[in-house]
Amino acid sequence: MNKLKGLVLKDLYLRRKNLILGGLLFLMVFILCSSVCLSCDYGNLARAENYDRGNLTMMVYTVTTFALMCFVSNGSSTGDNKCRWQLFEYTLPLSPEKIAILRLGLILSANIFSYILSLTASAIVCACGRLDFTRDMFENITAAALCMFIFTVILSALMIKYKDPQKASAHLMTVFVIIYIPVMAIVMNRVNEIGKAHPDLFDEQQEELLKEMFLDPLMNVRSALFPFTVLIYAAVIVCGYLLFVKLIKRREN
Amino acid sequence: MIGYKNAIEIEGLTKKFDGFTLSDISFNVPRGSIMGFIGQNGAGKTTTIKAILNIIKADKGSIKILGEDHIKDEIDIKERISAVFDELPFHDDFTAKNLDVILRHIYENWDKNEFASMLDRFALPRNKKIGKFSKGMKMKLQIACALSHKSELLIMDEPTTGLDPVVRNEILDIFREYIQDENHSILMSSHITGDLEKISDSVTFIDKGRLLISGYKDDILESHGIIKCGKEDYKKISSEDIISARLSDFGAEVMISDKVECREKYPGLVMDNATLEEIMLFYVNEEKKEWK
Repeated sequence: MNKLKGLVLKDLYLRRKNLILGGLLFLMVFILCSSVCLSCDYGNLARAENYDRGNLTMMVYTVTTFALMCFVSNGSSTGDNKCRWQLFEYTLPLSPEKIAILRLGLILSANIFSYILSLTASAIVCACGRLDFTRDMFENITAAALCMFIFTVILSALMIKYKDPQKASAHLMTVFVIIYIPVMAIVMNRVNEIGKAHPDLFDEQQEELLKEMFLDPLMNVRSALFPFTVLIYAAVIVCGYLLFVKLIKRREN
Repeated sequence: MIGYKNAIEIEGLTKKFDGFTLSDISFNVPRGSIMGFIGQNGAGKTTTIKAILNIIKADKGSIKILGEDHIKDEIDIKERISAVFDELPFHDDFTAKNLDVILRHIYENWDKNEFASMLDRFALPRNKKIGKFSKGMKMKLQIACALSHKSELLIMDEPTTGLDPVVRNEILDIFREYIQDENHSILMSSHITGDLEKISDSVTFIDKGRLLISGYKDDILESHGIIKCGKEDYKKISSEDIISARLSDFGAEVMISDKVECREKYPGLVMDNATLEEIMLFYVNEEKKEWK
């Protein structure tokens, strides 16, 4: 473990500027969102007639998004291949298994830190806006953190494979687009069908129909999987570890 | 572990890429010696070194480092060796102090006092970002890192390329000091044959992925020579004796590999000593036989 400490320190040295900037950005967003929520009772929004407090939910999720994104780690520095640190790492007395554990450890710790931060910040923002921190919010934040973890593990694997962060991102985007286009096509098709089938409905009612058609099933899946979150994390960790070890062992073939 | 005869033993190393094949490379680096690994750009020096360090997987062949298998005992071996590359492989944002902290956790035998004394000797600042170092300073820093964890073997890939003569000399002096300990060995690749001529005990020539010649430097320099003669005399030299010949309008320069025999066979012909650079040049053109 002592050897991994060296690489953890290396990562911290390199990321300290980004961590500080990320922290400041998150703090700004947190203060802004909390201020908007407080304004509903003590500020300008309190004087606005018929202001829909439901909009404050957006503030909660804005804070969550920034908490999850500002501290993300992909387990290594993007400059490792550029400066040939990756090459140097191959000459160190470190096994591929240890390096894989380190990378996963960095990704997981950043993810857990962001998750706890987003829960805490969201609860505070809810308190500021006198909103209930609902089970739905809790499940949504947990799902977002899990998705971010899976995304980062996949991105990190691609970076080990292609040794170039731009190539890795390009591959990931390609996969995303391949999935996104048919999904969007189906969604748009259904939107058109609803519009044609119910031309007499107001926009809000059409939106309600769409929500029932797409969002509600997604929420049901989220709720069904929520009790298994820890298991899913464990499965991603195991698969990620095995994949990382295999890719690291390939070296520069 | 102490009982090994050769610091590096390579037998039948083969690696195929698209457009290039490292083919059947075999040589040994005796313990306590410096081996110069010579070849022009693209000859396969870096590929060989990467195979030794298990950065690339060889298709065939066996490699032993410090008497141990380079794959089975990889972690053990890497605790006891250091690699130095032609360019500094550290992030520009690091300082020498950061490297000390990082590497002391990675190497069991890291000696922070030794590292500090090397930094003082090389006059390297501890808190300055290494991105702002000159090329010479970067190489000295890399060498300081390599020599600060009691390594028994230094494997270096063109460490003096791009350095000015003063810095190169300084670095070569450090290597001479390092090799004073008979348990220390160095494999150093370079196309700057002048440096290897000054410092190495043995040399290995490689070209287009093939081994040309390997042996003790003094033996190679002693046995090889260049016959300088006119066209008429050139015709008298047997092709068996010729490694290759550089022809000009006035005559020929002919590389031979057995000076003693050729002095007896061709008395009266002028025979000069050859430098490592000339030996490399003539061996590289061995297939052509005659070149200009």
